[in-house]
Amino acid sequence: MATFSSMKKRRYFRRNALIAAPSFSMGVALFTIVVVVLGFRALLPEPFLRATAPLLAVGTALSGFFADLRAQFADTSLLRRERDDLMREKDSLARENLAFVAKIEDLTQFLGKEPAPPLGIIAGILTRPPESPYDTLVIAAGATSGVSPGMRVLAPGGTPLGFVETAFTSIARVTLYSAPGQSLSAWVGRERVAMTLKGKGGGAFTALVPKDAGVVLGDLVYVAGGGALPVGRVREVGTDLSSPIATLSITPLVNLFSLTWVTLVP
Amino acid sequence: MGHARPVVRVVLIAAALIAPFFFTIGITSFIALIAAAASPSAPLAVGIIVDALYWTKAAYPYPLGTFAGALLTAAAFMVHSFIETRIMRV
Repeated sequence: MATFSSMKKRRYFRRNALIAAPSFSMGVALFTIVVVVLGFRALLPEPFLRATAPLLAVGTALSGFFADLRAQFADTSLLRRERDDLMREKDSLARENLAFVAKIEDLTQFLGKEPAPPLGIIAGILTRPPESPYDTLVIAAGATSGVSPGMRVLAPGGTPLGFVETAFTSIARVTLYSAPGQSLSAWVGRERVAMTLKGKGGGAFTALVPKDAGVVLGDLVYVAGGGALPVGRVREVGTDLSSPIATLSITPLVNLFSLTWVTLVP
Repeated sequence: MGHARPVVRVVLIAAALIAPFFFTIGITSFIALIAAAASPSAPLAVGIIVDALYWTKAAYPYPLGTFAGALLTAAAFMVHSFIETRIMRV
């Protein structure tokens, strides 16, 4: 067959006799990478986390950048209305807070000085959901800062989030209470109906309460810790005619996807 | 994709391997799915890296990323073998 200079030249890559096909080489390379990563993580967990921490921090920053970019294309009138509603709610809450502070001061004067709240350790978040597919956080504070396994992790405002599962020298891993398999004692509504919160993942919880407990949509859910701390709000009340139990779906008050720092307390 | 230029395949697979560090799990899964066209083992590798980075026993009973990656890899191998068989027949 005649060949012309305008015809595209084919390139043939030299192949090893042992590794016959390129796809097999790619599989071997992937297998090697996976074994190295797993070995690093299993044998040297802290150096692994420290090595990946800068990459995780970049990923979290990228996530915030894309969220801002998406907001550019959002309906501005809707955003403006949402902002105005939030500003009004914030002003109302600030006034309510002032009233509560005054009440606490009066009670303290009447009953005596209350003990100072324990100081906490403030830690920046390196990675959080949705970068992390599980309900875990990696924070930039470890044993050298006084972090130890079992410490409680609070969001800004004092909302309980989870607990420290593993603490390395300068990094710690936190499991959130909303992780599947986790449970937490709580109360719901003005009647403070006792229940157990079960983690559902993605920051959400479920709970079972008696159907006649009077729990309605929008009721606040509280957990113990220096009084009653609100952690979520009832989003759905699922009932079954044949069962005396109602299933609550609870959304968190804290937006996990935008957390940047947490406080750790004993 | 087995006949695509090696550079394209390497770039796709490299993007899938570094995606768990920089992107959300949704975007990472999407990139892993595309990389499966370049190498069927890519989703399993990505799943294992996601679990190495983020999974703990307290957070989830089993490493979901590895299982999901293994399922996608098995599906990718089936699709690859089907496509290669069809090409042979043609």
